[in-house]
This record gives sequence, C-alpha cells and structure tokens, in this order.
Amino acid sequence: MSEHWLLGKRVPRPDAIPKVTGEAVYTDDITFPGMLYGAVVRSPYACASIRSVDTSRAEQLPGVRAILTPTNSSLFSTEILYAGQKVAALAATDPHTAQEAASLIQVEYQRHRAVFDPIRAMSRDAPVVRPSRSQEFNNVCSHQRKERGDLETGFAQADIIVENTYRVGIAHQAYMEPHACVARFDVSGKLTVWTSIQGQFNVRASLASMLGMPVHDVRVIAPEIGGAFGGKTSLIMEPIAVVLAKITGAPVKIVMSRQEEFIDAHPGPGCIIHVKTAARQDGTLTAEWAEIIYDTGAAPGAPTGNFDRTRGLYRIPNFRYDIYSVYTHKLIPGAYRAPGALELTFAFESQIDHLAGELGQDPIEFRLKNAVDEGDLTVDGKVYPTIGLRESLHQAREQIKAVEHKPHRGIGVACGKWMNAIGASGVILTLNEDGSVNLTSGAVDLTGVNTVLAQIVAEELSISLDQIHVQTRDTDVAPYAALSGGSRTTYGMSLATQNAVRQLKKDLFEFASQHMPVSPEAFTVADGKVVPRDGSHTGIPIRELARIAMYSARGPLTVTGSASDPSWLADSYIFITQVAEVEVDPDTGEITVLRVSSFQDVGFALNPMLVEGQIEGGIVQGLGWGYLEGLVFDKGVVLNENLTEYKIPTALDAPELVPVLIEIPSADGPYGIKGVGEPSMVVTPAVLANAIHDATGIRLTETPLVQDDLSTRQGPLGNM
Amino acid sequence: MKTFEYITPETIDEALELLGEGAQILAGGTDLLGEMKRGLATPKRLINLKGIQGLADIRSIPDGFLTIGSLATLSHLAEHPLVAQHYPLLIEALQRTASPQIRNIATVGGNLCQRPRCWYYRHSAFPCIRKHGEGCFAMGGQDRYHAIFGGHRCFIVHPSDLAPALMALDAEVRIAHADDSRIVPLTDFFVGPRDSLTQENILTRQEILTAIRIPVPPDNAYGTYLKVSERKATDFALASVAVSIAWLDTQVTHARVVLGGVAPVPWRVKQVEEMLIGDELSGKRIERACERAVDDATPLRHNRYKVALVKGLLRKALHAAHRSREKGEK
Repeated sequence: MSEHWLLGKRVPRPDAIPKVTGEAVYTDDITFPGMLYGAVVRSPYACASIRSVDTSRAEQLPGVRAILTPTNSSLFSTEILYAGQKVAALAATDPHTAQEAASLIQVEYQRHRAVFDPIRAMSRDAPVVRPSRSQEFNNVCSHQRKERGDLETGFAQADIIVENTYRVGIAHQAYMEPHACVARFDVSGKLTVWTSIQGQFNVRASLASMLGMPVHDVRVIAPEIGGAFGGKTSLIMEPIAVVLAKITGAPVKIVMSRQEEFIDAHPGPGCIIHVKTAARQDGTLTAEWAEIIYDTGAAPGAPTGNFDRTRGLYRIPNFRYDIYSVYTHKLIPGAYRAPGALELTFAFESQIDHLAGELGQDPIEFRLKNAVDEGDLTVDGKVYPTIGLRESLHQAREQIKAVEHKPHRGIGVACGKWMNAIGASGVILTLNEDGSVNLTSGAVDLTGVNTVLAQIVAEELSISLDQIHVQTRDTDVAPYAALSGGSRTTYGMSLATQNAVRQLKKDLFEFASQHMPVSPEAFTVADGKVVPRDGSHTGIPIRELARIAMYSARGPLTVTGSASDPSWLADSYIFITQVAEVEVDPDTGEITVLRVSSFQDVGFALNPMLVEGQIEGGIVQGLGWGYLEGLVFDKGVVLNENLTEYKIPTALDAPELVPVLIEIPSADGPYGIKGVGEPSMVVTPAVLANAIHDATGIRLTETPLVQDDLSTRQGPLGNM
Repeated sequence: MKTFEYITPETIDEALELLGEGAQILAGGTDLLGEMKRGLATPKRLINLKGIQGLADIRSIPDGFLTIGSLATLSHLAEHPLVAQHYPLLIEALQRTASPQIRNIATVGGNLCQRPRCWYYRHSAFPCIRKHGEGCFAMGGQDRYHAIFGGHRCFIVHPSDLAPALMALDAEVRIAHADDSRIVPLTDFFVGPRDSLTQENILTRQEILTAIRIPVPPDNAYGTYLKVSERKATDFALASVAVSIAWLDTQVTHARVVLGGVAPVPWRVKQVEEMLIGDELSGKRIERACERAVDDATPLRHNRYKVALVKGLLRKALHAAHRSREKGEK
C-alpha cells in the first residue's frame, strides 16, 4: 500500500533483544525481602470426597507460615472432581520448605466411581460429575443446535454421503513460562499482584469481586509474558497467593511447576465429532449433519460458542449441528489459540476432502464449487461481505501446480475461517518537549502489538520510529484494555491509537494556527513538521510546537484514544487455505512434513514480518496439536505430565513454512487490518491429515496423527 | 528434593571407598537429576565422578581397541576422529540421541546406566514393581511405548540409542571394584526383568563403570543405526536397529543385529545374525531376516505397530548394507 510510508514495513520488535538476552523481567524475577513461597497439595484421585486433612506435621516444619485447607478456606472443596484438583495450600519461607510441607499434609480420601470418556459420561447410568442440563443425557454442561433447511430432503437429494467420527485430543498451550504470580498488601491495605496474564484488568476485576474490594484498591501488574496462547486468560493461582499474603502479612509468590501446568491448567479441549456430509454427483453439497461432543472436564470451560466464527465456508442448504459440552472427571479445558476452530476444521475439512475423493474431484475445484461468496449467509445467518476464500484457493491451486510429484509423497489442502474480536481499548499519547511521543497502553504485548502501535503513531505524525516510546503499564497507570486474546489486540488497540493520534494532530493543528496564518483544517504533517497543505508556509517542526505549548497557555499536548464495540467480534472474516506436502517412508511408515504453505487473508499487514511470524508459529502449533501432542490419561491421571513425554515439535519437526499474505481490506478495521493472532493454526491438522491420505490412501481421524498404527501405512508401500 | 552430601573424589579408588548404602554416582546428571526431582532417586550421598582425571579420555590402544572413558560426553565421542574413521554407526546413533544440549553434558557411562523412561515408573501416582511396588500398570494400560520382546512382569524398554550401537560393535565394559576390576561384554551387562525387577544392569552398589572398549571392526564391515521416534529430536526410540555386517566377496562373514526401544534390554537377535552369515544378502534373504527378527515378539494391546517398525527398520538397514557392498565393489 503505497499511501503509507511506515505501515506495511518490516519493523523488528524492540523487545526481542531483551528477551533473548535474558534482560526482560518476568513475574518469577520479582522478589521482595521477607517474601514467602506458596505450594499446593493436589488430589491424586479423579473422583473422591475428602474425609480429613491433617496438617499437624506440616505445621511443625520450621518456616511454614500459613496453611489453607477446605476447613479454613472457601478456596478449597472437599469434593474432588479431577486428579490434580487443589486440596490445600501453604506458604513458607522458601520453595523447598514449601514443597516439603506440602508433602507432609495427610489427606484421607473416600474414592468414588469416576467417568472419563464424554460419550460414556452421557449415558444415564454414568456417574454424575455435575447436574445435567439435559433430560435425555447425563452430565450435559451445555447444548446448542444450529440448523437450516430440511436435513431429510438434503440427504435425499444426495448421490453420496460420507460419515466419519473424528477425535481430537486435549492439548496444552505449552507456553515457555509457566503461570506465576506475586501478591502483596501494603500497609494501607491496598493489594498489588504481579502475574503472568493476558489481561491485567480482568484479574483486577476478578480479584476485587472475590475480595469485596473496590477495583482501585487492587493493582495488577503484568510483567513480560513468556507465551500464553489463550492459556493465561483467567485466575489460576492468584486467589491462593492473595489469601496467603493477607493472612501472613507478607508478599507471597507462587510459580506453577511444569507438572502442575499439565495436570491443572486450562488446555485446549478434547472433542469428538461425528459428521455426515452429502453431495450430488456434480459436486454440489446438499446436506451436513454433525454431533459435536466437547469434553469439558470437571467444570464449564470448553469453547462451544465459536461455531459460526469458524465454520460456514461452503454453501450447504440443509444442515443441523448439535454441539454438546459434557462433564467428565478430568481437568477443565480453556482457550487455546482460536478456541473451537482447530478441532472443527479438522473434522469438517477432512469430510470435504473425503467427499471430493469419493466423487473423483479435485479437492480445490470441489471447494471452489461450493465456497461461499459475498452475499451468502454465515451459519448464523449473517451476510458475508467481500471475502478472501476463493482468492486463497486460487493461490493454493497455483502453488500445487508447481509442486513436483515424487513417489511416497502426498499433497493436502484444507481451508479455515476465523473472526477477530475488538474489545475495550484505550491509550494515552503524550507529546514530550523534544517532540518524542509516549504511548501508554494497558494491553499485554503478546505478539508485537506495541511495535505496531509505534508504527501507527510515527506514520500519522511523520516522525521517525525511534521517537515513539510505547509502554504497557499496569492497571493503576494505563487506560483500560480488554485482555490480549481473540486476535483483538492489534485490531482494537490500533483503532484506539488511530483515534488518539488523529486527535493529537487536530490539537497540534489548532495550536499551530496560532503561530501561522493558516486555519487548522488546512494543515498536514510532513517530515516531522506541521505544514499548510498549500505550501504557503514552510511550517513548524512538531518538536518546536511541543516545546512552545508547554510554556504557553495551551500546556502540554496530551490526548487519549478509545475504541470498543457492543459486539465482541468484528465483521472481519478471515479465510485461509493451507497446502501441506508430506513424505512417507515406505519401510517404516514414518511421516515427514516437508512444507506447509498458508494463504491467509490478513486484510492489511501493518508489519509483514510480525504477521508472517504469527502464521509460521501458528502452523507449527497446529502441527503440534494435530500431529504430535495430546494428554494421555490412565484413570484420569495425566501420564505425560512433562515436556519429555508431552511432545511439542522441535525445530527439526518444523517443515519449511511458506506464509503468503492476501490483503483484502476489512471494512471497519484500522487501515483495513484483520486479526492475525489466532487463525493460522486452525487448518494445519486437517491439511496434514489430507496430505497423509493423498500419500497413503489412509484417512486418519484421530489426533495426534503420529500415533496412528503406522504399520497400516506400510502395507501397500512396503517392499518398494 | 531432599538434602544430600555431595563429594567430588579425585581417584577411582577414592570414589569406590565412598560407595555404600545410600550413595549414588553422578556423571552427567541428565537422568539422575530428573530422577531426584521426581523423588525416584533419593541419595544420601552423591559421588561426582567429574573430578577424576582421565575418566573422560577417548584413546586407541595398541591392541586395536578404542577405549572410551565412561565420563566422556556424547558430543565428545561423536566428534572424535577415530570414531568417524572406524565406527560411523556410533555417530549415527549419537546424532539421534536427545538434543545437542543434552549430548554436551550426558556421558557414555551414564547413557548405558540410564533408568527406564516408562511413564508409570516415572510417575508418582503408580507404585509399580520396578519401584518395589506391585505389578505393571502398563499391562492393560497405556502400553504404546512398551516392550514387545523380553517383558516379564514388567514391560519397560531400554531407552538408550548408544547401547544397541555399541553392542553391534562387540563392545565391552570395564567395571571397577575395590578388590579388582573386570571386563564384561556389553551383551552381558544388561539385566532383564526375569533376572531383576529393580535394576537394568549388573553393576552392584560397590562398583563403578569406568570404561567402554570397542574392537576394531572386521575388514569390509558396514554399520548403520536407524531409529524411528515420534519427534525428530529429544525423543526416545519407538524402535531402532543397529546393524554391523562384514563380507568376504559376496558372502556375509560377520553379522550383528541389535534392536533398541523394543525390549527391557538392547535386544540382540542372534537368530537373524546366524541366518545372514554364510550367504549373500539378497532381497529374499532380507525379507526372511525381517520376519525372523520378530518371530518371538509378543506385543501388548497398543504396541503391535512396533513389530512392523522393527521389520521396516531392519529391511532398510540390510538394504543399505547391501547397497554399500555393491558400491564398494565398483
């Protein structure tokens, strides 16, 4: 986009160097004299009642300052609903004493019958985890139905129907930095919490409400964050740290171990998708039916509300989708980068591929025949604006044409959709006396948003990037910002920044018109100066105006900018097509993912380097969840509770990554941008399954794909 | 972690004197520290061998053996010129072991003495027979990564990549004891569950593994190590195969076939070695060898795939050997 001089440019993140050199300060780096360390006792059983908790031995250990149990704290329950559930907590003078004290707490359990499989949990004779919302089934946490047309007619019109059941396992976000927090009360009773979180204001609101304190008495500080991916959106250890700090009168730190992360954080959910898709011989889709069963573990948490946000790629006149969320005696899932999208995309895009194969049609042509266009309806009946699905398919087709065909190789294609959120966003812009600008934000910088906000301010004021200083500050200092999630941060914060910087320009022009014989409306900025558009004056540098304003009746130039929307989601429809190339070893059945290309509509890339980084990271995470990862349970106990046995991809597992940016501007987004934080990972498991099918003729329907009985892949290929 | 005494002796004799009830040997620590953090190892005394001069040396000795000090790191071994010259098979195994960071710290001796990776053994919630508890939880449980050969009341697999490779090279180990030291073929070093349910090798509490010796391979020998793991690095073998073969003209004169990741010990398949010797390495013979290798496999519920993997890996390794001989002819 040639109308911008700095937007659309590859600007490196200034925070990258402190992060790789170890200079950046994370929550666990925060310490105070006299600080105590918290530790948690967890249930080894998935379903039990606590009969007694004996803390006498722990109390006698020197250094133990406070112990919380179901008897003295409402934070803990005597009813255990999953293995790993917190039973008690304590604070001690050092982490080792805390761990030792935790091991000295004796808990007596009465064990009960448990249920782990969500389908089993729905049967009428299954143990009840929580009361069911259904008359028909046990343990139903929620149920919704999406329908259109007449299913029977749709299936009757079809020449071919494919029916499969897909299973997606529970996947941890595996952020590098485990959850950590520090809680401290000052003498006036004000609480400060440092925590590794995606949204500081959420934490402030939740803690204030829990403690019955006004929000201004709770200060939440989010230091640098070592990854989150949706896994750091809600309270987890903060309430325990706060209560321990309150009763001991000392600051308390709690850092979760990697094992605790795997057994009691909020990973992406397990899901079973039973789906039937129908088409005519000419390739027209006629009907689709699916029953989607989310495993929500011991409490609501599975992301069941994003169906329309991620599906609706094809014109299907008749459909019915039943989406259940079912309780089991397992840990409680949460958001993982485009929550709800990956598992549904895996199932539905495998179906499309399967149908295309049965019909003998090219998977891209089949998709193009049925793809939605401007004017078509979303699943929920909204009308699509201009969208990029076809363009991404066309570009994918060109890519596939260029691939050389070799034995034992396969090419897969799959499409996906996502929509970004907006969220309450505020910024403060301050013009310093030297013409530099401070931007104060309350949004946690997960993905480089601060870099992009600096670009926007520099672009709009025509001053150099090094004059812009963007800082994420805490809840006492920064204006409100919704959590950094839902692919909203750059979208919402850029809107707020755009509003702020345009207001700053307006104020500058008004002030400048007192110093030049030009009306405010006739000014523009160029080369760091305020100049009249008609060239009637050489203009005044912004830094001059900034300095003069400080010592005039005008005073410092400081503005705020805000944005929000009554609806959580923006009308920006993000479509992606991915192409995967895989190679299968004919002797062993081993799969090597050679290359994944992603054709994604990004609206407008404010910083293509960061956008490509998001896409590349997303593909590798999607490959992780789809191909390698998944919690393994035995009687509700997580067996692979560490990063040796829970296998996230290494650099050697990452294929060649080809991010291709398609720029179809959004109608309402700042500079036409669309969210890019989440959507890149949603397609990858589906595209890998489709590529594996192309190479082997075997359709894998269960993640992690690597755990397929790979001997079945050898049969026809062996001895070659 | 519990508190413990930490001593760094300067000689093997000193180290041997420090051994006893509650004492454990620390080499690279890449396995032991993990065991200690999980409460699987609770030593009262840690004897750090890194202070002993010469224990990390790698050298050739006049009688034709390569001697590797047990404290030599995996990276050191992989980079040694004599290894590149005579034992490329070892380099293949080392390159597929763990990650560069771990290889820079982990030692050859420690690698041979590492404890099982079985997730029931490693997990605090499962008091299995290898931890002096009851039964094997993998039987009827999550047994995807477990043994298809040699299991008996316990179905661990030996996790080492290096051990099958060394065994295929007829390596021996030197074991020091206060009274004397002994040299034992590596094939006799490992102990399966029929002989012990709590240890995986013959070392007693009074002994230290001090060196590994490898003879110069026979003339015209070819060796290869192939491994399948779910992840390309930092992952243990689902199955692996180490093969060493030598010829006189077209006739196989020497064969070693050792499997990794499929049995409680590195699993030497002598019946395959015997059928390979004395004949040409034809495609048909290779197929028969692959079948023969898994004759006595007894897979569990979820690890039948390992049978196919062993066959696939062996087929690949033997074909590579065959190709290498043909190339040598030209």
